[in-house]
Amino acid sequence: MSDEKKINVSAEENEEALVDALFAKRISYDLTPDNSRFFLSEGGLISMELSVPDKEKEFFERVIIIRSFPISNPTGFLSVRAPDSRGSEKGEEIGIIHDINDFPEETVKIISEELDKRYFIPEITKVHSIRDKYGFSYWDCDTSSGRRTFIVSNPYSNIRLLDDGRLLVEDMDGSNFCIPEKKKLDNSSQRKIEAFY
Amino acid sequence: MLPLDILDKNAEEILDKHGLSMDQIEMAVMIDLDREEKYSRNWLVFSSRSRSVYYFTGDGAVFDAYDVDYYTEPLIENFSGSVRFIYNRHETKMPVIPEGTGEAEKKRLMDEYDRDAKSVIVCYATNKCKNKLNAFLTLIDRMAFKGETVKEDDELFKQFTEVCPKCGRSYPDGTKQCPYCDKNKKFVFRMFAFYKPHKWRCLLVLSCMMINSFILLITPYLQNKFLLNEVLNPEGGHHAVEWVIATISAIVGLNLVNTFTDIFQHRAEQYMSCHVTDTMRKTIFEKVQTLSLSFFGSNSVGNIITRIENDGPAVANFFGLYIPNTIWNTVNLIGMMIIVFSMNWKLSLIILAPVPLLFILYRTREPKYYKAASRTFRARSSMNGMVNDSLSGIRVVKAFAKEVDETHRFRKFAEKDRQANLYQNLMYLSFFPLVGLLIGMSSQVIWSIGGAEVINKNMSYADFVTYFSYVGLVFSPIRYFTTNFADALNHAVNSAQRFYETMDTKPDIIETVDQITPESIRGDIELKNVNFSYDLNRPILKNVSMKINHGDQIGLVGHTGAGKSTIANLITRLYDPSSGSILIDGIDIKKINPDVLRKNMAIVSQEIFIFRGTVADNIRYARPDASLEEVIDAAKAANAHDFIMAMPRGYDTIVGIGSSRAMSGGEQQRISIARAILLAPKILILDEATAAMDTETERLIGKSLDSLVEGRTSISIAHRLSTLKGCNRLNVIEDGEIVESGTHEELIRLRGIYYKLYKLQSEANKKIVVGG
Repeated sequence: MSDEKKINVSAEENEEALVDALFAKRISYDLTPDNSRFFLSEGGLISMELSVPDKEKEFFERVIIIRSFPISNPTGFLSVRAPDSRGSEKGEEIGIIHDINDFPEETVKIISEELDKRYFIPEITKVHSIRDKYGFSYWDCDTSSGRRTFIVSNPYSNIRLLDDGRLLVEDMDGSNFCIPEKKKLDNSSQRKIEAFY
Repeated sequence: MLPLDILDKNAEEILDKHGLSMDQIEMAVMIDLDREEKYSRNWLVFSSRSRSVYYFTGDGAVFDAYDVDYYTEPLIENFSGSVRFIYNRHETKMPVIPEGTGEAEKKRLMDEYDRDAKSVIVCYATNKCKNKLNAFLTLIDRMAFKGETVKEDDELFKQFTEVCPKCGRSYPDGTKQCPYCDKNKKFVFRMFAFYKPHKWRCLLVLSCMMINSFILLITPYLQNKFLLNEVLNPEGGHHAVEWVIATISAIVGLNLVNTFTDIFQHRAEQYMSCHVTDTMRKTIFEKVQTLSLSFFGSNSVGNIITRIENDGPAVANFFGLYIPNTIWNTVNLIGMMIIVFSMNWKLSLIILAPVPLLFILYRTREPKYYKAASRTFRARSSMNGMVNDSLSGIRVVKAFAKEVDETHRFRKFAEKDRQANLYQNLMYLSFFPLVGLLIGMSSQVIWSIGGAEVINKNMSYADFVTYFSYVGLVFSPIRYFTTNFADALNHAVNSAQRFYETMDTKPDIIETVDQITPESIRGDIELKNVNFSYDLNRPILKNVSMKINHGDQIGLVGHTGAGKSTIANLITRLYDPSSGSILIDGIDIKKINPDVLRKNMAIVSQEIFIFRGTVADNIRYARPDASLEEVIDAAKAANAHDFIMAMPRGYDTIVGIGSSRAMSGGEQQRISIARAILLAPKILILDEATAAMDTETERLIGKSLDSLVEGRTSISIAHRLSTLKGCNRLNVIEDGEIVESGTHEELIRLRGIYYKLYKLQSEANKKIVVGG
């Protein structure tokens, strides 16, 4: 290899480092009870402290926790993310929690509560009525969050029966409702939703 | 108060208790979740006198104040199905940054100010409140920080009062269905509209049926009562051989008439049924074509095919074959009933005995039938969907050698379809014998009671035989109503529901009444505060504004998923913005006649589709009247002429799915460019138009594109910055917002995102040079 080319390559490497710096991304860690601590912030949000060997301790006043598999595995593979600025909900991944149940009880409790709020899918406990009108279906139900009336457009596409027997209903506003097990409802409710199974 | 939500009495009392009178509240939003995410009525209000936001629950238990000078950076987090509103709390007011401070210093000051900030939850709400919540925050910003006075007729409020474009009344319940314009007609009546063109045939069917009915009623009388009692009986009034012949001839004559009316009737029925099926299928296909892309996003192709293929015919069959049969059976039933009851009412009561039983039996099983019918549909449509999916992706299937797995997958779907079908059919089959048994039993009861009556000489033998032949006829309509009809009705109701679900789907893109048809389009485009999302939980464009003058060549740059193609989709009106507006030549795009819009706009996108047909037909898809010369010119301009001439049949070669001539990605792209060139639109959108080509071809096409975009407004979208060389202004899109805008040189000087992209790409190119 000629000298000239060598110089070129090293200049190239320098430039590359410069570009790499421009596109620098956080390293995502496996989060365990050993390297991370979660607590409830004053404002009711989740704060986190990350202590990775050979690195300075990092403190995040607010982290965002997202499920990788909200339907098939709600307690595993939770992505913990740092918002890139205060008024933002987008951010980079700090790390992944493989199973939340590896963490102390207190942590499990606050994170589960936060996730339940983020994935707000009230369970339908009683169906008062389902009326069809102009191609829309009007539902009146008791849910785990209280009584609610909502409108489902296109019932054939927006009411889905999952393989595990759960029935998911999405209303016009994009809110979801769920019936975990048909058999657990009272008879009159079961009759009203019979056609979707 | 500004027209967001109106405070109720209870809320006013709570505000009053905390010393806030109505005249200092600017606006309010009803929040439908409390902090535990339980449904309830809570409120968010803003007072500009105290520069504060107040959140309080409907029961008054929580009442929090947020001074907007200390609580900053409001953020609405999008959850699935709900949102959370959070603020950042500071100990001090925002520092006043003196004018002329450098960018770096400004950032340092703000970072320092931010350091001690704490995030706090203000409230949770469902998606229903989201738009109003967003408006609430925008208005606070405008009133408290920009010093604006917001009026009640502000542009912002328009989105909350969406009205029916036909009559101008607002929609109820937030649906897009206008109860005044879309009268809730029962589907039965709507179906009759399909039969209107066949009204004479309907009349023919009805009259044939009446004649048949009459013959059916009169025959047993002639055959039994008259022949036995009057002719064959030595004491009868017409005891003569001539009468025997006359009666028999009459019966034969009636039979002959019956046969011919039967033929007429069934021919007419079949004719109508086929025609109506055809009309329905065409109607639903036409309707599906007008629907917005979002419909195709939420309905699988299999589902749509099943609707077009099965549902129309099922409904048409019901109306064409079952409604006439039903009328006929009803008439017969009533006629027979009158006859048998007038002959012997006591004996006739036995006929009625199984009817309530049959009715109860049917009613208890009806929901099951309905469910079975809809399950059959679902199984069928998911099977169709799977086949469609697997065949469209056959390249991938083969590339990963998944043929056997696909077959297994298909078996599973087919198995489900078989089960659903079998279940549905078996259910009816087990019901039919039951009905037969009940009917058989009651006729045996009649035999035994009637037999005793004959022996006791209370009834003549001829009378009994006549009576019994009528009884046999009564049972046939009863059997019909409890079996065949019930089955068909269920099928038809199920299908009709889906048929009208599709027919009643409103396209998101609604044509307004006050449409404008401009003679020509100049090509000025303006986006004003455009917001858009495909999925309610994920906003794609946030407050995008830009102005493009006619003849401008604009480039849109940004990462994948930043929203570049979405902007193209909105300008071509494949979608309408959720809020904000798009103006073309100063006219709202929603008001411009879509035909004019399409004729003056062309998009060459990253998604290419070659229809099955000749090359020439594909090129003149948008302008079928173009001459052959124009087609060749367009192909030349798109650098496609040479490879087309290399095909065995030149421009007459059949291409597209199912043809023997497969085209490469670059070739397909050139065909689609030729398509756009032929249309010679005023506005041209190139969405990664040259991405699938090698550099040489790209350069060649670049030249022809340069001549194409001259004098037109063009918007180019590309990752490769080299593609955008010719643009006189570039907009950088990041996360659905325009973050940088200017010429290439200006953007390089800015050292922002564009600079990064530029650096990265030129580095990559250098590397190739060095490596090679």
